[in-house]
Amino acid sequence: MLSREDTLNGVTAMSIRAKLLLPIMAVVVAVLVTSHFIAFAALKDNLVVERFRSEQRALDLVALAIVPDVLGGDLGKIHETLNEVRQRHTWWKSVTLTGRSGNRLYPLQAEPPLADLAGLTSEIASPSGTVGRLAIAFDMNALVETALVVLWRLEGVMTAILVLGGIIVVALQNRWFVAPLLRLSEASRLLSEGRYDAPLPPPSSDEVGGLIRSFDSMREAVGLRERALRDGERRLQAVIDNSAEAVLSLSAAGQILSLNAAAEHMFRASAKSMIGWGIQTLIPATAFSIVPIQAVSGIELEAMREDGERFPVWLTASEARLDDETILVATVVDLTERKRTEQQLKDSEGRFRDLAVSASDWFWETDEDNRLTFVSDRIGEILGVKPSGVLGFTYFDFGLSDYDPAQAQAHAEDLDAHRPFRDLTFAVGPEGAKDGKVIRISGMPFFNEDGAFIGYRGVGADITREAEAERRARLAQQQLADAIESINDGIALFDSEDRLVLCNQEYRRVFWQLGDMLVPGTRFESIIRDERTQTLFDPGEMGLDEWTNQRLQRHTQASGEPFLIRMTDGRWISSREYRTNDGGVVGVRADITEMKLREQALETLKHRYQLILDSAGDGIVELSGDGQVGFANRVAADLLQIEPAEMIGRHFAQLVQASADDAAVITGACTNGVAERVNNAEFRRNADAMAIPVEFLAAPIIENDVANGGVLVFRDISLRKHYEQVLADQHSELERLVAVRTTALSQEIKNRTAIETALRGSRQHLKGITRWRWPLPARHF
Amino acid sequence: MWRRLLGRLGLAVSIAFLAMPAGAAEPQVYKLAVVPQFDLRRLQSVWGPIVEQLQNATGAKFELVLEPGIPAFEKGLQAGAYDIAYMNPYHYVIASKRQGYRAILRDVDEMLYGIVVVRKTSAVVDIHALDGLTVAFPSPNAMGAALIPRAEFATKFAIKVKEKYVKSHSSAYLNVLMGEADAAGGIKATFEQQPSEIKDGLRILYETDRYMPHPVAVHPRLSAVMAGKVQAELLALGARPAGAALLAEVPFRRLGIAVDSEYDQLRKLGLDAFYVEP
Repeated sequence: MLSREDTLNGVTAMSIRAKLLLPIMAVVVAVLVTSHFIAFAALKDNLVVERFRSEQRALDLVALAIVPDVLGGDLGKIHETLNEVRQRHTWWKSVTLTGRSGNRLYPLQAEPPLADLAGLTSEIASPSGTVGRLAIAFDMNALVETALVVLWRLEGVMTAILVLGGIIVVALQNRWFVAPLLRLSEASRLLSEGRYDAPLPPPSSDEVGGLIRSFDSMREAVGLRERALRDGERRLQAVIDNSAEAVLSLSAAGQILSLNAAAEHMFRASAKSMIGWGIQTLIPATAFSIVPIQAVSGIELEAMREDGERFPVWLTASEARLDDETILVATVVDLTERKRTEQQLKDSEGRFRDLAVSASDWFWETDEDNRLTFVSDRIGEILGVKPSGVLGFTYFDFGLSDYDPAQAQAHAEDLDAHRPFRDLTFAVGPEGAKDGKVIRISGMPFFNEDGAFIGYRGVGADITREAEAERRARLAQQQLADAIESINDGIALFDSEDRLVLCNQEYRRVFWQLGDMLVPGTRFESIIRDERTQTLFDPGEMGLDEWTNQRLQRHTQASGEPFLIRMTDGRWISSREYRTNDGGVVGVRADITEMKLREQALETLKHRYQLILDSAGDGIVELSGDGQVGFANRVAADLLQIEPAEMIGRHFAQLVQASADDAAVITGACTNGVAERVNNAEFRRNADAMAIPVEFLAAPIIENDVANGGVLVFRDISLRKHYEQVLADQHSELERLVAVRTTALSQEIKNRTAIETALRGSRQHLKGITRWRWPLPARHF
Repeated sequence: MWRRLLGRLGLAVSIAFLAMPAGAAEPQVYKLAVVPQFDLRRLQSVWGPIVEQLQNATGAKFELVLEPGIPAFEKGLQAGAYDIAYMNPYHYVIASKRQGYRAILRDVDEMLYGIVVVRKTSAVVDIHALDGLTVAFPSPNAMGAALIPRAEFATKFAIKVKEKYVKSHSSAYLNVLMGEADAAGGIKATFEQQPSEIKDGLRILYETDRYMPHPVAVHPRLSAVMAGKVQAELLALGARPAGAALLAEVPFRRLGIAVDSEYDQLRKLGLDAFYVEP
């Protein structure tokens, strides 16, 4: 590989590949040229010569074979033999046998001479001399062509072998030597750049492999050393960069050579801008100068940020030798936060003192054994003890253990686990006694810098009054709960935030399906919108959403108006909700299913009676004791031309005018309990003043032996009166017609009697005349 | 008494022994030889199935003998080595004379004759013009190709030629075509079998007289029964289409019974003077 220097210097360096390839190619070319122009040429010549000789020998053998035939003149045999020879030696283009005198003996016809053919002759000799001559002309090229083709192929194969072999040799050299060396070279270059990951060729078992292994070992060793150096450098850099303190390296003249990120952050300037500054630019200490270089173990100075802000710092400096140069390594700690913290601590201590003096609670601390190590003075006022009197004791000693053993156990577990606790309440002193107190303490564990538990810090408060109040409140609440439980109806109390406070057993019984939701704290809306609730109540014709919204609205209004709730299991709940003074809601639920069922049955019965009364043919009206209509059937309404609903509640006299006697009868039935029938009365309808002839029965309604109203049954007799009149008229007419007819009949009878008498007389006469001539026929009347 | 009986028994044996023809007793395996006028492989392919048919028909075992050349065949023939042989007519004349072979079958549709061929462009147009010229023959004793023409050259045309024996008919034709001979003796069958480039370069100058063709002859040691069986089977073979096709390859155009007397004409030709002892 050409280096840049070599190229720049104009040196034409030959690559190793070229160096390997050229000799091989030269050898190959030399071999090919030699083989082609010398060896193969010689082979070809020898081939031709040998071929000539071979043909000559063959010709001689043929000539020898035909000697007896020539001598014997057996031309037939000669022709047969030479024909066969020509068949076998196809390259013998012509065969000629001539006799002793030169005359042609074979072939039959003279063959024209052929050009470009080689010729051979053989004497046919006998002991007596030459008896003939056998000559052939043959195509030498065709003869040797096959061999030449073989030769050329051989040359081609050899050329291919040489070239291919050369390529293979070069390829193998490249693979075994050149490529590994090039990769080693590349790896060396990368190694010089600090890269250790360049892949090396696989080491072979030869010298190149040994070189690769040696290089690998060297690279590994160098890499290890460099990694160690870099690791150390990185660690050091990491320490410096991650140091909370600003670390600066300074020259002998006090110029900043390098600084870490903390320095950048501290002085609010980039390292790039600060490098080269004098240290006095950052720390303009008038009483301190770094020139000449000197180490400082620690001194508090004032530094200045780039924006001019001054802040306190703690400066330490030490000398360091770097090759032949002495530098100063300075660390600067920003004391701003510490100063602030100190001030805050002072302020906090002051506040704490003030707070401790003014607070109603006391502050306390315990040690790792939970023994009080500090209590504020306030405890003396609260518990009536000196602070020092309680130090060394635990709260368990004050009565925590006796007050509530379970709570004490739980608190002990919290203390053991160093868990914070809050609002731990217990009694101090005899409960109920005059000097008995109820206190409440809260505490936080605190630990030292190492994380070890030191103790607790907390506050304590005297909540005796609150405890008493709570106790009374609980008592009142319990009484309330008991009172609520004694009520037969279901009672539920919701607070101002609509959360269930309590409910009695009856309430739970009524809504037993919602058992786990009826716990204090559950919001009313949550109960209403719960899936179980949604399936519990029957919204009727309303949609579920509309019913839900209406229910929530009713609950919010809490007007006290009763309303019915139909359950999906068929029950009826009567509900009333009232608003309490504190904004809560009291709900009263009563299961009125039985009453509802009775109402339904009563209604059903009433409807049935209505149907029965409506099916009656007479008008039926119920009257109260004072004559008001309580019921009227359909017939009565039709007769009086007023709807039953309009009649209800009205006085009967307002609907109908009856005669005084009839009215007295009706009134007598309602008030006196006297029943009476009137067959021929008249009611005049006030609606249209129409008079209706009626007959009626007024019967009293007796309750507890007292007439308390009556029932008036009446019917329209207009048709009856009409028929009566018609009947009377017809009867009169009939009497008249009977009288007329009787008169006519009497006259008729007289006339017939006269006629019969006359006829009787005639018959007797005739009988006397005709008796002796014809028998008399039977008479016919 | 016992002496008389033994004497009579020995006399009977002697008479029986003397009555047997000269040669040998009936062989276990019958040797059937074929004149090698064609390529041996061809002869094997032609005669092999025929011999197999004979074996199947007769129940006897036959061995096909194919000599490498005519001289070897002639030698074997004259030695009576073959029980049955297919030969040229002159071979039969000699064999019948020397070994007593008897012809039993021949081609009854074809007569044997020889031809004399010259180059088509040859100036020779008459047989007499061959006097003093070189004539190629397959072998001296090739019946139609050599013997008959040679005999007629001398007896009929009184010409004397330079004889060149070139082993085969094809060779003889080629010698003419290639100018190594002025003419060649052959037979029509072999001439027709030549490739066109040979046949078209030649022309038949002369055809000899007709003579009885190649017979199938049996050695006298072969029993008349077996000879009859062979004759009958080969005739029967020729009567079948497949068998006729086989026999046509021999070549037998139509196989028929041969009689020894039919070859007297050849005997009269005096081929002995032209026969060359192998």
